[in-house]
Amino acid sequence: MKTKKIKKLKEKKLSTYLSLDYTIGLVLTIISIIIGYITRSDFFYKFGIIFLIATPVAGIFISIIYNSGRKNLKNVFISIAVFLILTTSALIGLFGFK
Amino acid sequence: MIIILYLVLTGLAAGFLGSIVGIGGGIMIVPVLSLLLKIPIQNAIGTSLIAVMATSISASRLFFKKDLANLKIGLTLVIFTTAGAITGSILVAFVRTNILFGLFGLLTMVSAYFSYRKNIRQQKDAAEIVLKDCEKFQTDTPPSLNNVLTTEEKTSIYYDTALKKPVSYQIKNYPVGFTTSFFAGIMSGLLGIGGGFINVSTMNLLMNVPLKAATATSTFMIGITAAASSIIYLTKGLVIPDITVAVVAGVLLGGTAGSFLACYLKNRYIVIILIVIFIVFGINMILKAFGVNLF
Repeated sequence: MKTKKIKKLKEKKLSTYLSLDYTIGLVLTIISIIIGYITRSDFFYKFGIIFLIATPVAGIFISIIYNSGRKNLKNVFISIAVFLILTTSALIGLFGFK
Repeated sequence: MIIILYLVLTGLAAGFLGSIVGIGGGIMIVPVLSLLLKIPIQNAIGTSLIAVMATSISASRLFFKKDLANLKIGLTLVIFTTAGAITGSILVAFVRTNILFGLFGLLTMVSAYFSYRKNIRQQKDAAEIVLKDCEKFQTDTPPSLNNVLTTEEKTSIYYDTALKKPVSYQIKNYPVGFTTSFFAGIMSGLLGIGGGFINVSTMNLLMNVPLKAATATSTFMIGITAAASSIIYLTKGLVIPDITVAVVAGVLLGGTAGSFLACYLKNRYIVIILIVIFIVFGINMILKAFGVNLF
């Protein structure tokens, strides 16, 4: 029974974990928006927005961890490259290109 | 109160349509906010970026569950599109954008034609050929295109709820797809247009990804690319929380409903919606080349 469970866990796809990540992100955003609406506070609205931004970024990290666990180096490099290029893009946007 | 209702409805429409055809919805949100509600354009873009992410998150959740989104191709294309967008934003100071708008408008119209040809006309022809073969060999069992493929060719697979059968496909033309994505990213950076419809066209027309999988993958991709830009807008204080949250609330509802519908919608209807958007977008770009701004 235990080995079956472990096997099932091992077989779980990356999309399952990402679906979970996106569901958690969505729920947290909705909760923050509702609290913000009740308390009329910008702080919770901003929190909701931050959760929205953090969800896909967390997805990239999940992809790196998942592929590292499966020793799929090619996909690890792809995920790291995505993260690096997005960071570069954000940094160029923040500080300008002079 | 009426303004909030407008914002929620705008988000609802953008999220609904965006999640079905794999575009962000910025094309709808920015004009409504800036032209109708007189919100400064920078704030409108900031709100739109957050809304794009909300579309992506609400829709991708279901697409992941249904295995519609192709993560590997999505992540790889993001690298090339973003690299192109960075290059485009650097080149913007050196290039006259008017001609580019015209060229890109024409390219969008051509994409609309090829989308029609690939997804509607060719499918009709393929169905007719299979039917003819069936009659020839007098087989009673219904034809399935999946049986034609060998196991090696079935590199990716998803279950099509509308067709009620698994669909397998082999991704082709990797180098062409990556190069196109890079140049599409440059155009995106130069012209400030969204990447959603570029992703869908590249995957569907050049890389042999079925339209449903292409739209789902694109929905996932736009969330990642929008995240980087959103951080910039948020830290520069260009995101107004009250307005953004109202749009996001609509987008979350619309995106969830749209993604649910997209799983059950036949390819033909998705193509029709996509072609209409392509044509409207293309006409707008061509007009922009001549200095006329529709939206």
